[in-house]
Amino acid sequence: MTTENPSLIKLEGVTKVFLTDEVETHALSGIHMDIRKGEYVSIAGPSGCGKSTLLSILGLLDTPTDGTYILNGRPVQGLTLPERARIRNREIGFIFQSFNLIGDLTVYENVELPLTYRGMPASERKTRVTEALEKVGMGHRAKHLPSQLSGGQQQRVAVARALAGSPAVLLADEPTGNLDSKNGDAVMELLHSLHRAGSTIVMVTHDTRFARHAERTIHVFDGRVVEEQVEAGSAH
Amino acid sequence: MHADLRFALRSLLKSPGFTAVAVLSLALGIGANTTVFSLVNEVLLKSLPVREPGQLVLFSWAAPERIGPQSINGWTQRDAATGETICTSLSLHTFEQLRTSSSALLSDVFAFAPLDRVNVVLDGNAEVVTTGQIVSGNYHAALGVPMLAGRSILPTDDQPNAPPVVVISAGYWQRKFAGDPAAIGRTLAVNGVIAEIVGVTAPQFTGTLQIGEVQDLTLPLALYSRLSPDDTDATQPWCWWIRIMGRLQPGITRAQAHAGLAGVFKESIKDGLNAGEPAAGSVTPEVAKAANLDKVRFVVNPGGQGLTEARRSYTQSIQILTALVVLVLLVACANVANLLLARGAARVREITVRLALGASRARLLRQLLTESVLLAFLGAAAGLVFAWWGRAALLVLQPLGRSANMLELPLDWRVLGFTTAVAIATGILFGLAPAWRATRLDLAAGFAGGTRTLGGERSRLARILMVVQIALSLVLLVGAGLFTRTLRNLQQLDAGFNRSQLVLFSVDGVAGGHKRAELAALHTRFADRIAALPGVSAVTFSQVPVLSGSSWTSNAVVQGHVPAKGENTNVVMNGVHPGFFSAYQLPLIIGRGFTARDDAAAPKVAIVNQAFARKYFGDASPIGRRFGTGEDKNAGDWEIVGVVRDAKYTRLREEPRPAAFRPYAQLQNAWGGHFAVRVTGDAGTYASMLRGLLRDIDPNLPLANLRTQEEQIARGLSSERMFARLSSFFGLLALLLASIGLYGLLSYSVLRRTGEIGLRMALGAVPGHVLWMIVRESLLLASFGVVLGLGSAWALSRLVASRLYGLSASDPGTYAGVGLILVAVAIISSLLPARRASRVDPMVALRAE
Ligand SMILES: Nc1ncnc2c1ncn2[C@@H]1O[C@H](COP(=O)(O)OP(=O)(O)O)[C@@H](O)[C@H]1O
Ligand SMILES: [Mg+2]
Repeated sequence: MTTENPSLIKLEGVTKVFLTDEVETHALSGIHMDIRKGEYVSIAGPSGCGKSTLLSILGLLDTPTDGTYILNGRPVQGLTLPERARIRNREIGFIFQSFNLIGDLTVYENVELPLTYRGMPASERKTRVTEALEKVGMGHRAKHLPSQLSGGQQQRVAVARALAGSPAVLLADEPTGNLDSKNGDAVMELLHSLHRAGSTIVMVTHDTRFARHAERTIHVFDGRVVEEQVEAGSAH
Repeated sequence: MHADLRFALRSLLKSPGFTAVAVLSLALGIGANTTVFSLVNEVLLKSLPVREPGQLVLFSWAAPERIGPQSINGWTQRDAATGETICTSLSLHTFEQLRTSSSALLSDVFAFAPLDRVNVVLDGNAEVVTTGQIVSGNYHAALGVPMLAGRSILPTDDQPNAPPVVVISAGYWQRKFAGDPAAIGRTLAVNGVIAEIVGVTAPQFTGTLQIGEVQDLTLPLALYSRLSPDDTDATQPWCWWIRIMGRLQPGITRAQAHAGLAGVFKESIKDGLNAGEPAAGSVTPEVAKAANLDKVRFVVNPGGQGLTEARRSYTQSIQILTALVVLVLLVACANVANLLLARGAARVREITVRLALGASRARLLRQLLTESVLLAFLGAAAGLVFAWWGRAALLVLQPLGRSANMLELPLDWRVLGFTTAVAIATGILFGLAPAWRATRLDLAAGFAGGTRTLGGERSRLARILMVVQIALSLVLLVGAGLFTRTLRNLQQLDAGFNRSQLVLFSVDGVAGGHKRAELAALHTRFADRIAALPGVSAVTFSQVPVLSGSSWTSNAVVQGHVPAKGENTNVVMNGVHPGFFSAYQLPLIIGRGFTARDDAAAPKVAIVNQAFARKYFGDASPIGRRFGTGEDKNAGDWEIVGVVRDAKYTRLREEPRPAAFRPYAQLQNAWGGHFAVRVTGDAGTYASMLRGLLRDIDPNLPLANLRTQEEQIARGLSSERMFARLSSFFGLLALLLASIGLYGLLSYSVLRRTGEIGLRMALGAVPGHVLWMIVRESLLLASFGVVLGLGSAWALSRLVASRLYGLSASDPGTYAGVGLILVAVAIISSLLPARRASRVDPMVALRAE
């Protein structure tokens, strides 16, 4: 697999140690990883192996205990909190297992949220939000509250929220974990089409069916990458 | 029920922090209300502690303004509705007539009146007892006054030649005789009359006069001419001064008594009326008096409380106090309701399980209400302790001024009943909504996982309660601001003279055995001796003390001035020693001051103030013009020799009004001896020096009421001070409760919204965004509260407008200031929760299950 795409995410020797009640948990032990622009990578592994921890480091929600992380050609260790918040806001789109929509904001306002933190003018926000909602097929539900939507619809809104800011990478942590298989399929289909349209996606899942959508699957076991598998069929 | 109670107690004990805060808030609210209610009880509700007070009636009369007897000694009040003068003072003649012709309707008719000045010598020591009364011989028996020792006054004591006797109060017995039974049979010299002590009244009986006036000495009416020898008019039919009460015969109503006695009353006052308003043209005084007779209404009032003019005059003060403490109680209720809501939210699991196990909602409601009523009762119990202290604190603040400082505020059955009722009402008031809310659970949602969203459901009820609590605090604080600024305005008011470093005292020469005609010389002798004391720079005396609340007013008749119909010709009068203006530093504008040569033999002169000069002479010089008081023929009595600057004379609140001063030595009926001594250095150090000097000059003449002019003025501001202190205290307390409540609400909200906040940070919110989000929430609540509170305060402040001075009830500065304070407090209360929110780890977004 050779591609001229530049490297978007580069991890070198990343470790993460949690210290709770004098007990050290080695959640990640020396991860090396290179993800290029436009790739669709899935991370697989048993529960507790460190997938979420890895994703949180990729998403700058957490910092590695050791090792280097270069995002878009720029090392991100040692950045200040506001700088990290700014990168999360512009470069990263999150999709969570439990959707994480805010209950007393409308669909529109939920999608708009990251854009307001960017200080974007209202008119531009409107175009972006409408566009993102159209993309996920939820344009007609802009005024609804999340509680008025089904789980699958909520997750599509969450995808729209992640998309709206045109981030460099979409990070999804078991996006279908709370959905039935029909809704799960639909969300996967959506991610797949986004990938085809050019989005870089890193998705955590243990459902091998969905892992096959990705071009590459990274298997993690006990905090280490144990195997990389390339889906020949999916490659462009 | 029993089980409910036991469970409620256990559940309260399980969360001691919550219980403590709730009980403390309630104790404060209920305690304050109990305290004020004990005042309401004492002043407005309580009956005389005598036999069947419901049978007692009090006679009085009402008449259009200016119609009545020539002389009234006692309270007169204006009925706001009819404009009539209402008064309980009557003549001895009317008493005799009612007594002799009422036996079919009344089992007893009795009379009483305060003795204005009482000078007592006991064991050779002179003292002024300001409280004494004379009563008809049947007074004690007719009322059924309980006696502590000895006997009461009897009809046989009330005979012209009966040996003089005196009945003393329980308090006087304790103070002067330490409760020694041997006091009975000893003698007191009362205004020079040697009287034997025959009895002591029970402590709960404080007489039938105005509230708070405990009459230490009670003497028979027949002694009056010997006790007050200078009051030669007392037996005249036009001199109305005695109060008359009766006891209804069984089965007779007040209306029947009124119908049966109105004719007797009318006949009895026939010779006692004045001519009223100078009538037009040809009407003779006789015709005018006859016409006036029909205008005087006979009134038979309930007498179970004795005289009630003073009681009624405190109604507005008590209403304001009541409003204050009701607000405090509401604040406490809102506070506790909010605590209960948060607790209910924490108990969702417990309640869900109970509902699932088959408890009916009504059953659960009952359980939760039992808990809140139990909480209220704990609060009421602690509140009674607060009330116990609160009464002492309230009495220090002199809720009814100094005249009523003998009040006791017993926590009797009526007060306890009130407290119990308040406890039940508050328990339901603050408990119902949270209980309703807590039991309105969706069982299915409670157990099913469902798809949850972030942010948690925000309790609208909690927010409304918070807004109400902020609004209530604001109302209290606006009250505090208005009253405090009123007090300060009055304290800093320019009285028109230099009020600092003046020592005041009074002597009562007449009660001390001197003739009225001798008073000027006697007082001048004192003044001269005092002037020689070291540190004394000036000394003077006057008929009426300055800024004491008491005044002497007359209708002025001024030569060359024809009053318009209905014109107010009232002037404030005073008789003053020549040194008065210089001692008070009241500057003379034109003319001359008084000198020692302006004595009884010299031409009669007067000095007026600027307001007087302006009113009657405009820009012309008043010097050399003449005026008098009373009837037109007196207009040439006194020549104006000077004009002094306007000042406050009776009370600080008065507007500048015409005043006239006359030389004390030229007064025909001098009585007052109110001295003012201007000193250097600390005014407090002169007391013993002055006492010693006076004792040297005349050992029978005690010095009374020693105080500084500042103290004198401060006494007149006691209700302003009370309102300012209480509203500030309660306002700050309410503010504290509100800020604690706000802090709790926001902390709880941050806790429930942790996931949402983490998500927002994951999406790129910086800590500043989150900080502002929480502060903004607090500000939003505060602004709703401020708007609601400002509106309510504005509406309520109309009720206290008449109590304010130097600012309007809608004073924008006060409202804005208080609003800003609340906004500031809202920000401060939100800072800690906001900071906690801004430190939420964005990781929780990923980890939230
Ligand atoms: N904040 C934390 N503190 C302590 N241990 C943690 C923390 N987060 C994760 N872990 C531990 O790190 C390991 C990896 O967790 P996680 O990344 O959530 O696994 P996965 O998402 O693959 O199921 C687990 O053993 C987990 O208990
Ligand atoms: Mg995980």
